[in-house]
Amino acid sequence: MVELHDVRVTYANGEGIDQISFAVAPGELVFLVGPSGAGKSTVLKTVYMDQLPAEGHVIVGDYNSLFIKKGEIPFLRRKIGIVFQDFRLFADRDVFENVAFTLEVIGARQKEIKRRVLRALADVGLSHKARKMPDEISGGEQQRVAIARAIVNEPLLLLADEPTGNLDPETAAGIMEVLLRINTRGTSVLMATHNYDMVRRYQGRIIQINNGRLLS
Amino acid sequence: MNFRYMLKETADGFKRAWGSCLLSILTIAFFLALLGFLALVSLNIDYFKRTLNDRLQLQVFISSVLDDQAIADLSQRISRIPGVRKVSFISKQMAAEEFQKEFGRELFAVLEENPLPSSFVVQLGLDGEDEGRIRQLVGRIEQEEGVDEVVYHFQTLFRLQRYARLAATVSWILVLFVTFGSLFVVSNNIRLVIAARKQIITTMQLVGATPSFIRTPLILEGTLQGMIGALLAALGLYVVNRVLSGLVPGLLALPPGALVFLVAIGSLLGFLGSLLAIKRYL
Repeated sequence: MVELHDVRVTYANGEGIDQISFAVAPGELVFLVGPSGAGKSTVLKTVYMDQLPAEGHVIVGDYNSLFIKKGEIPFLRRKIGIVFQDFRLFADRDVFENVAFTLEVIGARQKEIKRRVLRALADVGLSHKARKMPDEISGGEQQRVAIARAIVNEPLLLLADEPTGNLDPETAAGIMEVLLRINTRGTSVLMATHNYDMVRRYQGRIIQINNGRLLS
Repeated sequence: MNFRYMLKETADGFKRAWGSCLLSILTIAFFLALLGFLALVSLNIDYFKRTLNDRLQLQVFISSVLDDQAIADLSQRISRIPGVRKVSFISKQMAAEEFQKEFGRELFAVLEENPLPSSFVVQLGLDGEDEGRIRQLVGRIEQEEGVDEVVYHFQTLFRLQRYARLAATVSWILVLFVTFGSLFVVSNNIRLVIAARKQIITTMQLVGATPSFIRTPLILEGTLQGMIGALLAALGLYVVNRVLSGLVPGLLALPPGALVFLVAIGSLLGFLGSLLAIKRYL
């Protein structure tokens, strides 16, 4: 599903990641755990190829970072769902339209969009808030909308970058439940977090990262 | 690509930043209306010039000592001068008849003989724009033996020619001004839209939107701004045309094709303006 082979990324300020190698199997749940600035987000960026490695390579499905063309990157991202700590919802669209956007991008028909958006919203428990604007719902609900947007296209892999970072423990637990439910249906989940105590409670492989390198 | 979605996004783009969109549309409308108005002025100057050209004629008064043969020779010599279309002879007798027709018989009642000279009416086949050539031709006729005087009334035509040249120069300057002005206005407006939506655009890229999916609504928005601005300009010109036609009979209106062309130009400028912003800032 996802393979990272000796990946190195260096930023101008000297930070980055180095010698990162791991794989995520289909349907697997993997937690990438490390403190802030450890390189977790950079690792995820190499997976959705927002950042191409200076050394090594990343394989996601049929795409390889060594050979991928710029024009193919949007199509790679359609096979991946991404959830961010700051939700990144479109403030000028309601919940339904936010989720529908992923399907608009791939040119799905209106009937299909409606059916799949309602199902995704049901999956995250937000069917009743479809016509609310993002600023009319809570932080936890906003993150659920972001998750619905990420899974509505039934991706093979869900990337979550600190999805609970902005939420209180109770709401964070609710989000974790949603992610686990998605994982049990066969979607691989790679979640980056600094909260080791939280992920310890869940069944999943933990990969630790610090100063840009994986800890053995 | 979902066409319905693109249209909706474009319409939403207008709604989101209606103030700057309106400003952009009105500026383009003003630019294009100015251009159209100048085209209207040029069209009418050109029309008057052509009308005057058709009536371009000289009166060549000839010496009273010339006999019939000399007059015929002179007529032939004048006819052969390049730029002369037709030479008609007006005898003393014909001139007198013409005079009497216009002013009555009183003058000839007190005169013992006909004081009016014979003349040629020389019609020119020159392009009226060529003031220099007309003056050259007049000079050449004046040099012919047997010619007393050449009379012509081309001052209005020459003045019109100067106006036409001025209008053409101003038009070209204005075309450049309008082109760069419109491109700048649309491009700046789209740049602001891109800056305001930077985060949204990034998120779009992350969920797999292709560059064309992100750019198309922005290009449509710019093109529509140009098109609406041009439509307003065309409407304004149509009204000005109607009002002026009422005030000045015989005034030519811009043909419908020109107004359609104006709309096409406006759309093209909008399209290019947004494309410029996208190439630069997206």
